[in-house]
Amino acid sequence: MTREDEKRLVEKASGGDAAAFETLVAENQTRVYNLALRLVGNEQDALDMSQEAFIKAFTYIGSFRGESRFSVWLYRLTTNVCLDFLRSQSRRAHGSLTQAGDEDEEGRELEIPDERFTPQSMAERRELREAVRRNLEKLPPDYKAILILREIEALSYEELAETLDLQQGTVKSRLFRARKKLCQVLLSDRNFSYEPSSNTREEV
Amino acid sequence: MACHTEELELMSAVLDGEATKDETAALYAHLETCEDCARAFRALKSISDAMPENLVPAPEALLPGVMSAIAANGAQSEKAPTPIRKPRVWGYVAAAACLALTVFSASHFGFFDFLNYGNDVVYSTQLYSTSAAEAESAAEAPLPTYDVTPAPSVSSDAQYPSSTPSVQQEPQASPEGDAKDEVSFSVSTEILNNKYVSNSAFMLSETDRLKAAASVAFYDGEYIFDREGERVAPVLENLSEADRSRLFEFLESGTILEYDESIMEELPVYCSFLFTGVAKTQGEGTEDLAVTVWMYGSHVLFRLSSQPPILYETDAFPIDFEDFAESLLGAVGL
Repeated sequence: MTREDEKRLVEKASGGDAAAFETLVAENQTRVYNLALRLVGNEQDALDMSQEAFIKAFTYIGSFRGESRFSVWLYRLTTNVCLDFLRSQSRRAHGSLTQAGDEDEEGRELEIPDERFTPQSMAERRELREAVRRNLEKLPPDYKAILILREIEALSYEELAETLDLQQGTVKSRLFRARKKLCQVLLSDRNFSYEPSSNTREEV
Repeated sequence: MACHTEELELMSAVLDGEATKDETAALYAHLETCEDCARAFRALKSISDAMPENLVPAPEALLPGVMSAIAANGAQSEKAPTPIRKPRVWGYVAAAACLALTVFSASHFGFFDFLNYGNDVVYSTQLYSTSAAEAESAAEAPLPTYDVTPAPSVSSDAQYPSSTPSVQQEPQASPEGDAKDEVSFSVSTEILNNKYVSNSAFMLSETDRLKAAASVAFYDGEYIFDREGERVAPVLENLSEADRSRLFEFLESGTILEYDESIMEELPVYCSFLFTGVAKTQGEGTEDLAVTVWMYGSHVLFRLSSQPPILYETDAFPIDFEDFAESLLGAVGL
């Protein structure tokens, strides 16, 4: 779908054309669903959140100006829906909002990850990959959202600012903090424990 | 260990291709002198590389669910979402300090992964725009053109060996639909972990057009979509002229030094590069040419396919491509 096609469909959908909107949903559902799945962590909630995001998109499609990618606009809706959901879950669970603070409450040092984080063999890589997937789940929703949007959806800082409604400077520092936090949870993951192998180098 | 927060934050931005050239250069300079930071950088990069990336299909119930809710007008009671800020002018970000991809000689058959940050893959005709700084410098100093005999024009099918499909004939359907046929690789910097040099596959993580594939590996002028170990659709790919120009811009004028193996011991090694082109071999028409490039401070090490490495000393931009190419090719007797 070209951006011109997309624009035409968005215009039609703005006018209430359900068939045009259906095409847009079909085009974007995989991305939206995968984003939701990574944010909320289970398939049923991800389906619910994706549907809610698309329904919102249809309702408010008139406010999409076509100056960003439609998918980025959808990410924004999806992220908001998911974060609201996660926060309400967390309120239920802990009685308070779990939000990532952008203050430097964790001190200014990073416990530097050890050699486990620079895997050499494919097996080690798989293990690291699995550990990252597992520990991403444990991050506060705001950290999880920004990391997923950046690392997996490959949004630029500008698009991240747009999607998460942040200043670009905040995007930068929050991404850093999210990575730092991920390092910390990885380091405390007792199931992630292969021995670092020696730093050898072969002739290239 | 305690590291400077400033550097760590910068690493994050550099990994994302969102740091300025100066910032990136400053970071790399620091990494050369600070092993702790170099280690942290490698770790951050590895963790980013290890992000989950397989997309699962959306459940079949999703689309009908949405459409029936819309039909039932059930969405109208939704609370309004937060106001949509007016989107800024769209600009797909180019990694500011960009260098290139990588490759390998067939004899080693090792791959490198590419960072999945920034714009590892860009659609040269549509999605790519340069940063303001780059645009400015490009305006001041137009990129050189490469009419060098061995270098094929990217758009010219006829110059490729007939056995390899050209980019324009690329059979891969684009999930994006609107993606241009021509994919170019923009150059992204990376500090190459010494360990990565030897044995592990560097995979370019999916970005936009490549969503369908879990990863992509490049070697010998081809890239391969790799989905869970299953190779899909090898396609010949060449660096675009713009990317080539970045490469050679980076290489500056310099001197070829006698190869000294000990250079390889230095840490951190900068960067792998890949340049694929077509080189003339004597009497035999053309063949793919793969170049790996390692950077060590002011030294650059090249390897062309299975030729001996060339150590090159460099310290000023820009270089004339023809001179460079001639010296490079001459040095390996091509």
